[in-house]
Amino acid sequence: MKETFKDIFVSNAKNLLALLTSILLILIGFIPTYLPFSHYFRPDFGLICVYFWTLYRNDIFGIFSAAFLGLIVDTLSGVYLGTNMLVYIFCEVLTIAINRFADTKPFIVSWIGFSIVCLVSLSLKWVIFSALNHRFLSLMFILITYISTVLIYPLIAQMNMNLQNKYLSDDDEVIDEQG
Amino acid sequence: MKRRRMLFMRLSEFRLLTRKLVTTLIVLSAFCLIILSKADNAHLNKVQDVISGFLNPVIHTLELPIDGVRFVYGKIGDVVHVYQENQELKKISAQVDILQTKLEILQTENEGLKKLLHYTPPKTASFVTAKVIFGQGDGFVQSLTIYTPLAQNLKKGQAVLYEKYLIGRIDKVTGQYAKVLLMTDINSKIPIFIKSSEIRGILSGNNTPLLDLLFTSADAKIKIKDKVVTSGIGGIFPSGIEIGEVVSLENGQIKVKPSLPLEAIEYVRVVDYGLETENDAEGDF
Repeated sequence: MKETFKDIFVSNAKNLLALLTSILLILIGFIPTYLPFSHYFRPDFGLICVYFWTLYRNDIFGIFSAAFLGLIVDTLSGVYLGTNMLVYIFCEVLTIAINRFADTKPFIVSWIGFSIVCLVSLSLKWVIFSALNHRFLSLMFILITYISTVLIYPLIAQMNMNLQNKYLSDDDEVIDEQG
Repeated sequence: MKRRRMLFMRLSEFRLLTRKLVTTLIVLSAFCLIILSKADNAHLNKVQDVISGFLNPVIHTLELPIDGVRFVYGKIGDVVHVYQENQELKKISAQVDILQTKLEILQTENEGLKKLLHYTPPKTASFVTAKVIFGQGDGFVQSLTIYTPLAQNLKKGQAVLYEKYLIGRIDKVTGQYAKVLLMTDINSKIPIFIKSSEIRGILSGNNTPLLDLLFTSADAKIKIKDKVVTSGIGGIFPSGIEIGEVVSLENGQIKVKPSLPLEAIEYVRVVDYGLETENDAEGDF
């Protein structure tokens, strides 16, 4: 059967959906809430998205998507270009490495997997930023970023699961809380 | 047979090899980007400007619903507190009348003294009010992005104030948006002096809510609650802008707390004191 232009467009749009929703989440993460201490309480939505989509749909979310997300975060934060890009690529590679343990397992396993990947990725980020600034950054506020990112993971993962099951899945690719 | 095995590999092996190669190339390009960015490459800055020019308005639009909610909440608060505020304003108005009379006397006296000294007045400061669109504040970076239609008047290095307090300086201007490097950022260094004792030093950010006071003399008598203001050394900021107060003197480390919480800032003033900005300084060399 010959594919129409609409079929090709829908298929490509679906493939881009994971990346586009990740960009949207990152942009939302930058909006100020004006709540007390909110300036320091900022989860890293980019890491969550890179981990989730690499774990469950690495066919539509590859290393280029991770690098692109990193580039966007670098631009918006005003840090040296390439720093978050490197961290997200590292997160993607690490997620593929743990894929065989966390994929198709209960949700709690993927959450624990994320807590490890997030810890290692943020540690790498801390090393890069400390090296670029020639002094060690305070670990206290990086710990706050880590805890807030790990705690908000289930919410973002649930949103991404809904998106995956509603728009991106074939019947055999439905993700539920049992993985 | 043995040779063919060496020359050809299975498709899965080929894919794995390609993936490893691509990963290595992207990691290398990320490293190159970091190095070029650290070297302040002009082409890279243009790329960054193009991406920000596209993304900043998107975030600005996404923020509108939050602004709407805050506006309604603020209006309700205004109605509830209107009587109490009115009483307070009456008291302040009475005090202002007294101060006005004192001010007029001092002004006349001051003008007379200036004439005697042949005093040349400093340039008048002009300012632009800008709205905070978004901020990045975590253990890694401390910055704000502000919006104003008059952004073309902004220059790198200009002071950014909230009320009378310094919060940072302009780092980059892109279209109608500008990036503000907060004084809590690790790259921020501000020459200051302690108001009561006139001890000088450098206030350095460290990506936490408290700032480090460095390069003060070893025998400096600094006390808790001493007010910290800009010293004007370096020519970027004028002297006397309030920053905060000393809150800790433990283990020889002097910590200064900014006068206002950074998460509460909604509007800022970018002040042009007519001093030499970083752009002008770069042009001179």
